[in-house]
Parts: sequence; structure tokens; C-alpha cells
Amino acid sequence: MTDRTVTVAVAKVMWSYYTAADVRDCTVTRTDGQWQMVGSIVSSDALRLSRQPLTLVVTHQHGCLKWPVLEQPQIVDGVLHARLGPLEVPDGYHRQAEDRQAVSQ
Amino acid sequence: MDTIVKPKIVRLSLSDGHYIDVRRRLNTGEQQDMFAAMAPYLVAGEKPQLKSQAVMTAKVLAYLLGWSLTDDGAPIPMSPDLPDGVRMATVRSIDPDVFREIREAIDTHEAAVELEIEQTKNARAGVSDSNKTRSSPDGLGVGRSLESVN
Repeated sequence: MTDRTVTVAVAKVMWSYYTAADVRDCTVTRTDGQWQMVGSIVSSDALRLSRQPLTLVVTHQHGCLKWPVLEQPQIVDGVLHARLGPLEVPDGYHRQAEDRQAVSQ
Repeated sequence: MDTIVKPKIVRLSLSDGHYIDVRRRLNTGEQQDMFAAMAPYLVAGEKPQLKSQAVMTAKVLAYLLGWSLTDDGAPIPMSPDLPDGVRMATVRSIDPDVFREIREAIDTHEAAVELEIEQTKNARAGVSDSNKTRSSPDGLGVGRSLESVN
């Protein structure tokens, strides 16, 4: 049963600091505890989309939301589908050079 | 050595507890973009004419991903998502001493990574050569391995 839905005009699939895909009309749903997303591709980079780890990033006025992409996203007729892990970053997170999880040193 | 440069972020400390986040290593495209910013006009057979005001900022902009810098207590936005013009204008507006510290930190970081890569290459080449020598069944491996290396 779907218990949470996030719908946004634009989102990004990131490979670390690189944009792997820009997506519009993105819908993220949680059904029986499993997150997934679907959205129309605006632009994408096949190489970056084939890398791991990928992260779905939805920015908003007060920060951003991030989900890990669990496996290689599928693109069907210009629409990107992906299974997601749990929401990583709480609402209100401010990105300003705070991407600590990606910092290697 | 990796064929594709992995996008790793390295945090470098500045004075006053501040830091910058930088790319560990530039990939070919980023390196070419940096050189193009430094010397946009190339004439075949002539030395590159460097664009002096861009030489110092080009490397900083190529490496810089984010920072903790503030102004009057407010964070100064810096992110690869920002338009190039905004990033350039922001870097050009910071205090020259702060810019110099950032540039020196990036120069040191770049040299350290290049040295690390060179040492890894040399170590692998050494292992590879000694393996060739040891695995030679007829005792003529040294000469053969030198030929194949050179």
C-alpha cells in the first residue's frame, strides 16, 4: 500500500558531484516500505547513469531530499524508473558544502 | 589505474577552521576545459598565449566544489550546480589573501595526488617487471622483459 508520495517538478540523479540525469515531473512513492521513482528524462549521460553509487536528489526551498538508487535505473520511452533505498537526508538539510557522506578525507 | 576518473571529494583545511571541498583529480574533459580557460587562443606552431587573469582562477574553479566560507555570518554559495559565471564572479569577489590560501591548498593537493599516482604506477611497473623475470622458464627473462618494457 502506498503510504507516501513526493511529487516535484524537477529532480536530479547524481553520481557523486556529477549530474547523471535531469528529470522533470518526478514522482517518488513509498509502497510497503519500498521507495521507487519515475520521471521524464530531460537530459542524461549514459556513462554516469551506468556508474554506482547513484543518488536521487530533490532540492527544495529549505534544503534537499536524497535517496540512494539501488540498482541500474531503467529508461523506457524517455521515462526513468528506479528502485530507491531509504530516504537519507532529513528535510531541512542545507547542501552548502556539507556533503559529508561523500567526503573521502 | 582507473580508466574513468571516479568523482571523489577531498576536504582541504584552511585557516580559521574553514575548509574547501575539491575534486580529488580532474578528468580529461575538466583538464581540457581548465587549459582552454587559461589559453583560449592557440596558434599552431606558436607558444600558447596565456590569459593572465584566468590562469590563477581557472585551476581553482576546475577543482572547487564547495566551501565553508561565510560573509557577515551568512554562507557564501559555492556548488558545481551554480552557473559558471556565478562561480567565477564569486571567486573573483573574495579577499585576495583567502583566494591565495585556496589556490595554494589546491596546488599542494594536486601535487600530492600526482605524486601518489606516479608512485602507484612505479610500484606496479616494478611488480610487473619482477614477475616477468621470475616467471621466465629459460633464465632469459631479464633481457626479454627489458625489451618488452622499452
